[in-house]
Order: sequence, then structure tokens, then C-alpha cells
Amino acid sequence: MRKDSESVEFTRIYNTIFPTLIRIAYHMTGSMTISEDICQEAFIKLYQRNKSFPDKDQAKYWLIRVVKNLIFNYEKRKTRERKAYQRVLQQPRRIEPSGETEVLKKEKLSIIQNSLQKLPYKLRSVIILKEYGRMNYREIAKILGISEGNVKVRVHRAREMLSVLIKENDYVS
Amino acid sequence: MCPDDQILSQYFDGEVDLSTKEMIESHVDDCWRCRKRIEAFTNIRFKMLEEDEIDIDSEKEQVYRKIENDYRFRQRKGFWDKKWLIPAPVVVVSSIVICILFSALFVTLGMNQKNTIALKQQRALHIQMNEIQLDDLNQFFDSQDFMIEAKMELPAQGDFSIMGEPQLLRAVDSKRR
Repeated sequence: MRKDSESVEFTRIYNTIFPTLIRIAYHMTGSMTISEDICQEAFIKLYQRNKSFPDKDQAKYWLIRVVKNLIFNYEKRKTRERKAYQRVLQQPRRIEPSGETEVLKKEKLSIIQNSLQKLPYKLRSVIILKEYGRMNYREIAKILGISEGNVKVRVHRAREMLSVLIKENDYVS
Repeated sequence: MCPDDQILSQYFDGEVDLSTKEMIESHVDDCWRCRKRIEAFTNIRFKMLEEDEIDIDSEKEQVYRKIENDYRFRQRKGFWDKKWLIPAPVVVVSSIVICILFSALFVTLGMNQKNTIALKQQRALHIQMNEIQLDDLNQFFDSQDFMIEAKMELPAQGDFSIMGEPQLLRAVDSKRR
């Protein structure tokens, strides 16, 4: 890669933060393939910008913020595509599913993953950062750019909704 | 009185101050409903963390390799593979400047060529002066389209019989005077 010292620093950050980042991305998207792409893009952004951070936590927060934004963009695209499919499906001709849809179908989701995917983005991001990112309310507020009070409310609502969704999914399966 | 769900959720996350924590703890010991609510939170957390047992070592290696490849791919791009982004106004202005420069160059070259011809003829004239007759000289001047500045040198020996022209001799006499 670039200079030796920079390369070593990058590898150190990568090895420390990657596990947290991929977990967050995986639980947010429900797909390991997409999470890999998102994490790859986030680390490339870090490498290209050659950003220096005062400590490991700052790098982690920055990367999580990038991943969160990439996931948000991915979800917007997915919603647009879904709407487009729905429009097309209403027409009489047959539509071949895209490669991405095929991959998503292959990755069978568990009850909890399924329930998480049904949570609205705002609630999902908060509960995932809390449980999988193992962060406190202050850190979550900092990453998402919202107040701590807002985090408290969202975490609670996410838990309430999740318990209902898990029961529903349990019943269905 | 039971604390509301949100306070209980905060307590469950360890996000309440010490006095609230102690108060809730003593309450939960006696209240089975609140214990049940906390159990529900624990259950959700447990189920979520069960899902977290994913093997990420292979992904970690794979993504790192992809990042490295991406970097190498960018590095491999040579000078001729580079793409240049030049704004349209800059292209237009540069083309105009280049056209003007070329036109100026051609004009200058043309003028220099004319000068060169004149110089050559001047030299030729200088060489032939010793032998040439005045009539021939006049004829030569008449045949030229452009003005020629001619410098005539008289023979060093003072033998003017070569030229044989009274006007020329008079001109020399008057210069000496």
C-alpha cells in the first residue's frame, strides 16, 4: 500500500474496527454480501482521505458514520427499486429477478434478523448500535447526530416493536 | 408505583443515575410485573446476541484483499491511462491562443524570407561590382520590385577606368572634398 507507517496504521485500524463495523452492517442490511461491499467502501474512503484520528474511538465513530450513511443510501435505492418492481409486476409480462435480489433470496433470514429488517430505519440503527455496537447512549447520539433523550426514546420504542415482531414471526414460523 | 417502560429500559441499559438505580432495584425485588418486563428486555437482548455469533474471519481477510486490490489497481494506472478533466472554456481559450500563435509565426517567417532574399541579392551585387558596367547596374535596379539599399565601394587602387563613368567619378570627387 502507501508508505509503510501509513499502511501499518491502516491495518491496525482495520483489524480493530472491522469486526464491529461488519456486525453493524450485517444486522442493518440482513446481508453479508452487501455488508462486505459497504465495509470495503468505508475503509477505502478512510484510506483515500488519509484521515488521522486522535484515538481509536474517533476512527470507529467516523467509520460507523460512513457505514450508516452508505446503508441509508442503499436502503433508499432498495426502496426505489422495490417500488419500480411493484409497478412493473402489475404489468402482464414476466420479469427476471436481478442478481442482487437472487443473492438476497439465498440468504435466508432468521426470526430476529427478519424482525430487525421490519423495524423502521431510525429505530433499527439505534438498537443495533446499542446491542451489536455495544455503545452507550452518549456515543450513539454522537454518531447519529441526535440528542441523548432521543436515543432513550428510540431504544425503548425499538425494543417494544421488536418484541411484538418477534412474537409475530415466531407464530408464523 | 411502577416506573414507566422507558425508565425501565434505561435502567436495563445502565443509563440511570445511582439513586434511580437503587430505587428501581428495591422496587423490582417486590414487583413481579416489573421483573417480567425486565425479563422481556433480557430475552430480546439474548436473542439478538445469539444472532451475533457469526464467523467474520474469512470476511475480514476477503475485504482486506479487495481493498488492497483496489489500491493496486489505482496505483497501476500509468500516465497515458490518466483522465484529464478540462473545463470547456479553457479548451476554447487555449485553441484560440494556439491559432493566434501559429498565425503570428507564419507571418514572421514570411517576412524573414523576403529579407533573406534581399540580403542575398545585396551580397550578389557586392560581389559583382568590380566587373559590372553602370548600364548593367541600372538595369538590375530597374528589374527589382522592392527597394534595395546598395553600398558601392570604389576600388582601393584608385584606377577608375574599370567603371569608366564620369558621374561616378564626380560623385567620388565631391565626397573627398
